[in-house]
Amino acid sequence: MSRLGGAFWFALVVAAGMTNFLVKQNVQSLDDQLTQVRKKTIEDQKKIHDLAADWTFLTQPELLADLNNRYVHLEPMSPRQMVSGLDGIPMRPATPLEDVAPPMAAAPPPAPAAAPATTIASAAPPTAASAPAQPLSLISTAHAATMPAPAPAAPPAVAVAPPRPQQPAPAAPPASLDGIFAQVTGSR
Amino acid sequence: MLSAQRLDDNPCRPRHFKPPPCAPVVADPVVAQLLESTRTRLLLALSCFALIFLVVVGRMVDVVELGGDRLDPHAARARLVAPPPPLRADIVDRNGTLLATNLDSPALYVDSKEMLQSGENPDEAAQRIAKAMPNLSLGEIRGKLASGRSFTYLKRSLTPDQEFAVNNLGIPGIEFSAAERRIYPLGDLVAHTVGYCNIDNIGEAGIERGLNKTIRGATEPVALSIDARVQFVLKDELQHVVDQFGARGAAGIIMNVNTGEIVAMASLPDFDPNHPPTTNPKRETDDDKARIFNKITSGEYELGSVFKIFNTAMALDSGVSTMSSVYDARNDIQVDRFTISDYHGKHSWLSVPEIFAYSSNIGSARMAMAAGGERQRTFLSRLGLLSPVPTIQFSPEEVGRPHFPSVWRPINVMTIAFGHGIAVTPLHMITATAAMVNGGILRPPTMLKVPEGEQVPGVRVISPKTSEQMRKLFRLVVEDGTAKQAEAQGYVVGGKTGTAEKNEHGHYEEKKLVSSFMGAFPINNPQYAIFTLVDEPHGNKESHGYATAGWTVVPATSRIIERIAPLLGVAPQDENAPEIKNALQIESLVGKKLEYH
Repeated sequence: MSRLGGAFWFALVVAAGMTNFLVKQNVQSLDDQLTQVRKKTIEDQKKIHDLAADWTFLTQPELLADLNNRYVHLEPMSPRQMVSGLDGIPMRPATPLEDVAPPMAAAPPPAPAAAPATTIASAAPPTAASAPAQPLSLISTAHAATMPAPAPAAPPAVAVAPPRPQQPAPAAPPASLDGIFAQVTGSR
Repeated sequence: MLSAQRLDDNPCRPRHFKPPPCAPVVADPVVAQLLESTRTRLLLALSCFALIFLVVVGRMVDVVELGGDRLDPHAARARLVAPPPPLRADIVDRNGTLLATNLDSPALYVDSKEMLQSGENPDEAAQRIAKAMPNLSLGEIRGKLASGRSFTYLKRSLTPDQEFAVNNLGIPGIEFSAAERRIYPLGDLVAHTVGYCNIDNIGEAGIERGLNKTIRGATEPVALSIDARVQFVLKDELQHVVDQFGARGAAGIIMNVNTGEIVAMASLPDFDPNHPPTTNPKRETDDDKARIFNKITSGEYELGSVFKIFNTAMALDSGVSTMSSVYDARNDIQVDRFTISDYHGKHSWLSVPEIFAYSSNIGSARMAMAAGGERQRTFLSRLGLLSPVPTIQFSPEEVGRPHFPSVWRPINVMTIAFGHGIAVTPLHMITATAAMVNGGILRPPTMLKVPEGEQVPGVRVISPKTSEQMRKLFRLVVEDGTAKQAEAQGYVVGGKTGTAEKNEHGHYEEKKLVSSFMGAFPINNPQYAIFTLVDEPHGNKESHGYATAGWTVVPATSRIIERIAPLLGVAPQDENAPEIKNALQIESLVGKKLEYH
């Protein structure tokens, strides 16, 4: 019995020793790996840092200006090339009403698409609301709804609603890009 | 033995379990003695082992739980996560462009003792090193190699190529020591702003010096308010002015009027902070001094007519004058031995806007006299024009102290009205002017980036109404006055020119001018102020021989604004739109045509 117990304890000690050894070995190799990775990371970070400095050096405005003068000849943007805000972007040229009206009359847009357009438009610019003719108002509202901001001089609105109010109180422009997207997608 | 007896006596004892054949009988005292001593020895050995184990356990607890010895190599290895922080933090511009950073650049030193012990021939070694590094003198190297000292620098700040070459020689006793070197990738572009460091990584000028402690302690980059692109445009155009008019130098500064952030700051001539001119006073040449000198923060100038901005604002804000007040500018004013006269003489009564637009010295002097010296002094002091600019991130030695008369006599009142007899730095000028146009709030200038949307506190120095009047006057000068060429299409520029003669050795030099322009745009809702100055320009054919502000810095400012406004996100507007025209129209001038020539 005592011999058996001795063997058991011996086996246990050997097993524990082995496990201990293996685990330790494993940890050590993992530790080494970790160190390697960390060293590499630091090396790479240093390289990135050096390259960042290099990049700044190579993209310094003076050098770029010189290269530009030699090869591409770009010029500073002139104020005429810029529009301030979305209201400055002109709408696509309006299609003449005669061309648009018949197909619209023949096949009116499906109700689900038209309904949100009108509701949004009625809440938006006064030009659309004051449009006189009923069938035309549908078109104008559709246009107006796609319009990001009430541009009093925008072609479609002018074409459809000639009796513009004396002082077209501009409706609040969409507060953000999201608002504009909501309007545009809502009208489709 | 006791237990054996008990076993025997037990009636329930299992039958197969035999008692020990014989109870140990210990009768021999010698044996007993032996056993006893063995037990003691065992106990002794046991406690020894126990003690050792306790020590081991204690150490383990120490290492695992308490952190253990910091110098333990394994522990150090485990903590090696990030590279060691640089000696100095990076400096970046408002868009994150690197303005200053540290790069590894080892130093080369010789351990002469080791070299001599190893049997290396110093002469031969010196020749090989000199071959690898041609800019070291052979004699010097040889001396250092044979010195017998254990540490002598051969060269600091090696390039990677040099390091490789020397390493390849494989000479014993030649060693590298790790070191970092401050480099400025943009070179001279931001020289005066960022400044530079000495070889021991201590800031010597600019932000490097002013914020030396912060930069040494920080791990994150220090973000400046400077925009490198705007800086380039400013410097480029100023350089153009210097070349065009053969000037001694030029300076320019651009400030966000609503936050006090300095977006660009240039002073010409400048230097490359990677190779700063020597700062050794003994070897410093005049040229070095001129290059290192920062005209914006340290240069004190009698700026001339641009000072009429403050004179007019004072008169309007205090209620002494209104926009329709008129002053007698028919004749020169004689005070003691001085004569105050007009450059563009009109010889008539002039209203406040006319005085401003024609830049009448006589009219300005009369306005100042009407307001009085005490009021003038208080007003200028409130604008910070009589003390060094506070809170700016430069070393106090680099911030100029204004010069002004200690006794404020009537003649001083008159000359200060048009910017003579008082010398301030361009930084003063732009800081105070920003308050004139931004609605009347004076904010301290800053070189550090202000987070977007943050409100910068300031002090109210003039009423919003006065500020609005000042904006109209600024616009008038560009539309009908001395700064017509400042117009930058779409950006509604406003401003005031100033051409002052330099005061040298107590008298004004007619040929040595300081021409400057103080502008702001878009003037109907100012966002940026710009001050440009050219030092001793000479008229040329294109400027019809003039070296005044209107012909030198004013056109340059126009070009600068055209180029930087898109970079700064200033939306162009139609300056002829009725709402802008009306907003900037001066009521008292409606129907009048200013005749300026």
